[in-house]
Amino acid sequence: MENWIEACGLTKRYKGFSLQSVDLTVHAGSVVGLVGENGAGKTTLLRAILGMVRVDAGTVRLMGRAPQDPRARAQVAAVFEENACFAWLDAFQVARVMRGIVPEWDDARYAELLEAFGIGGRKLVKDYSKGMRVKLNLAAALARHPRLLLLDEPTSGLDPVARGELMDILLAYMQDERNAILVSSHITSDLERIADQIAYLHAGEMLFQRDKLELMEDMAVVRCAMQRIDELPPELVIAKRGGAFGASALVRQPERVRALMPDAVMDAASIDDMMRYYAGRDAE
Amino acid sequence: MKGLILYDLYHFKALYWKNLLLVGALYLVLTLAMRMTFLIYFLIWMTGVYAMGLLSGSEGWERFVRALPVSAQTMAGAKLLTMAIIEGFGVVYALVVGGILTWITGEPLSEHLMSVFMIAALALTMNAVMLPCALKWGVERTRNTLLLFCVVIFAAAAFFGARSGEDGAGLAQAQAWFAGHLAGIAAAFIALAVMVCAAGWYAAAHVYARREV
Repeated sequence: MENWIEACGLTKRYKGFSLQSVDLTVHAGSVVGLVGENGAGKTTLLRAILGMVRVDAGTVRLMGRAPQDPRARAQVAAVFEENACFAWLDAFQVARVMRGIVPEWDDARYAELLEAFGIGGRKLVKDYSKGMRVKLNLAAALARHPRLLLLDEPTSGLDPVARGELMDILLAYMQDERNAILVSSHITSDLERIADQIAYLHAGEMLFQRDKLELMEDMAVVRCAMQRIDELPPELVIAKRGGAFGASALVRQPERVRALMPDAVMDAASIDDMMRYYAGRDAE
Repeated sequence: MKGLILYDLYHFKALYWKNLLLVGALYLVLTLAMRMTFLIYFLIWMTGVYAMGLLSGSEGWERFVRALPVSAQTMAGAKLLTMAIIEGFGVVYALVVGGILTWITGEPLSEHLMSVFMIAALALTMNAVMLPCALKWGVERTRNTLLLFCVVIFAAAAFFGARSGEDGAGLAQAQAWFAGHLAGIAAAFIALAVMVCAAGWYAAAHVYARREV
């Protein structure tokens, strides 16, 4: 299986924050959802993968090449959150600009996407709604026929209908099994819908990158008294929280936990749950 | 590269075009009515300043381009060419308005042409120097440093002008020397401008390649 992204030991140090030895792999035909709290380093990681920041340690291979290699970038399209660089242009002018930069630019595909998204005409991009801007950026990205899409918070600030449309576009893009997507998002329900794998970045550290279904099956939230949680073998408890209405814990191997505590309330863990527990962890 | 230039020209049109037309109209009136010829040349210089202003707040675009198959050399080259094109608007303006003025006043057209091209070359050279500096340290800081530099140059010129004697004999001598070697000076100046532009392009490409966005 070909890997479109191979990041190994990626380290980038800033004052007060650092990306710490991050490993990430995205292979052809997969959608990897990158989750993490605000400031966890998701955008920095995407920028490092694209060669926009110089890393202090580690290596990145993008489409099997160095990220700065134009042959690699020719196969990759990135859409960053709130990129307002087309604000002064209309959709036709965007096409003119892109045609003059990217040899792979496909006017017919762009027009087809604009029509499907219901955008275009002579309206300036600065007068578009946020959803329309995201769609335009995505149309500009997809009209290059990229093998890999890197999306930074594409659904942030969109209403559920627009988010649903966007997810449909991405699912259609993934019909070609040689394509791949790395998408960072706070809206984990979207990732639960389209991602094959979840990579969780916490305070600059990659806590895990795992198959989504496997992850969902391997983790659960158990609710009971704190004393009972404390009685569980430590290797089963990822994190626990106590409150006025009892205690709960994110646990691994739900079947084993179920056997140990048959009367406890146990729910499937969502990605949101995992993030909440990991971020406020007080137990390993 | 064509797309990069086109983007900057659209950006220029959106931000400065109306302002430039108004300034052009004002200078036209002042030049024709009050013979303030220097304004024609000043507009060429101003187009260079406008072109440099395009760098402010262009991080989003740069980030976007850095994800495209575009080399740092191409980015730097496109920026310099865009600046040359924008200054070209100022040159066309100066040629037309100055041409009308020389026709009215009967002044020699060759002197006017020489001034236009020298100032255009100077403006482009200055932008070639400023481009890598602005990318590295920001437009405002670079502009302020340049202003300071200009103050020093003019102060030095005033100082040496004053020392050349009350009768201005030294200055007259220098002027005579310049007039006698005008072709050579122009050729040397153009060669220097080309070299500075090439160096500016190289330095800007280097900064683009290492710049984190």
